[in-house]
Amino acid sequence: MLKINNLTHFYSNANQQKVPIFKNFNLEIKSGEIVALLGPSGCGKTTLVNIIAGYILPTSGEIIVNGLKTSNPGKDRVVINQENDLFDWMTVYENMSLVSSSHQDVDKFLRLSGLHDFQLSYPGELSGGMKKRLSLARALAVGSKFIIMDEPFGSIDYDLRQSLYREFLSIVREAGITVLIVTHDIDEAIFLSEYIVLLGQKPTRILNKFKVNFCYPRQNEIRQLPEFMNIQKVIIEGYGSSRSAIGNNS
Amino acid sequence: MSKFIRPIIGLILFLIAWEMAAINFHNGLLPTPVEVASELFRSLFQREIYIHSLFSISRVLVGFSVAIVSGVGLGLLLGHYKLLGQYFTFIIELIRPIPPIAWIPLSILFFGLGNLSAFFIVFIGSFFPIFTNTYFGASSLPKILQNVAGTFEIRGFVFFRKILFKYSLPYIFSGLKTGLGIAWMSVIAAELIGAQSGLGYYIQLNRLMLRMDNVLLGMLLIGFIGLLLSKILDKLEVFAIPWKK
Repeated sequence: MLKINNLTHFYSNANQQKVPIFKNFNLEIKSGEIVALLGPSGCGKTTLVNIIAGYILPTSGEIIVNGLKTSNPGKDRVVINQENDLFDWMTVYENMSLVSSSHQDVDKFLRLSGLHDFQLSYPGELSGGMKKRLSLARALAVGSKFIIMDEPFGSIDYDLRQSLYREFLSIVREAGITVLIVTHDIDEAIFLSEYIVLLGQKPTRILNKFKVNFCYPRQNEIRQLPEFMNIQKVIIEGYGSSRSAIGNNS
Repeated sequence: MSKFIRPIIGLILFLIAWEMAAINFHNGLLPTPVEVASELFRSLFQREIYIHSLFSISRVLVGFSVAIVSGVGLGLLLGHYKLLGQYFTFIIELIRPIPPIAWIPLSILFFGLGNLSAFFIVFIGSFFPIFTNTYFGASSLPKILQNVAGTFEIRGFVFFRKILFKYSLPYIFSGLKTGLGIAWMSVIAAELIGAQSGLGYYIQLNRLMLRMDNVLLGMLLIGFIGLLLSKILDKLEVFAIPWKK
């Protein structure tokens, strides 16, 4: 589904010096997988999302989606952002029908996301959770089989986030969508994903990649299992070794 | 006290102050509110004041409409295509502070006395606030929404109509309100100097005949029609921007 080959990207710092964010970075995600990219703030996660989405061009390297090299944004990989990314001047229905000409699809995904009764509402009249569901429904209505989520639940309170996690997993797994979740929240990464890719500091590299062996649908109780806590420990230790490696290098 | 009572009390106080000024400084030039009201009542049964009002309104509508089309169109284009904007924003900023009244000699030179000249002055007066607000709106479209439009392949005319124009609508209406006020002031200025009809001409003519009651009647009508046009625009705004309710 997604292949990142030899990605290298530089950015200009305040002194106009070229600083590498990625150097020969590689990643592969298979069709239908839910993968979490976990990394500390400032490690280049959002830059990676922008490169995969086609919003910025990398200095070198390839982004291949469904076997095709990509460079521009497109419907084949839809991004759901932390901030509100809906068109506030359009009703719920208009937000959906702008991207999908099929009334049946719009209707189907509005029902799936529980927004069918709010078709005539404007995004400003919806709660934070409903807005996220609408963003997801819009991504599904366009027919995209690959969704990139950039800290999607970051601005939502804890209780609502738990119910959104379950709804989200149920929707994407039913639709067979490949998902790349970018987050710095360890709990969120373990709860949602099948694989976790642990990123280190700049230039960003993969510290570790491992499978999360919990069956779907997942319940809140899995957080009490020793396996869940073990994964948390591995991640925290991974960060620790990354930091000490940086300390030793400097 | 109800919000309807307060403006009425304000109006009554204003009329009392006017009446006292007219009595205390009476030299035959400042008519009292009663004299103006009786002139208003008399004029209601004559065609003259309606014809002059219609001339002024029609000039505003023509000049203002041209300003809307060009100001909104150009504002969206230059606001979205930043590089294109860099070519023109300097010259626009240079012309913008010139008051509409300063264009009157040039407009008479190019268009002569009459409608075309008044259309031009109204256009000049209302174009800049409409353009500037639209430009500001279009250039402030958040990057995240531009990216979303790119992802969903919303491009070209559809992008301009459904994304950029709609997002900029609150800014556009802000420009329309300022622009309409200036348009209405501009048409009176243009008629005072270079027209043979309209409320500005009516005031000028009566000033020459020392009919100060008619001068004040003309001024009151200008205020009333300006208020009416502004209220119509407020209603249109509520209708055009339902998501801001």
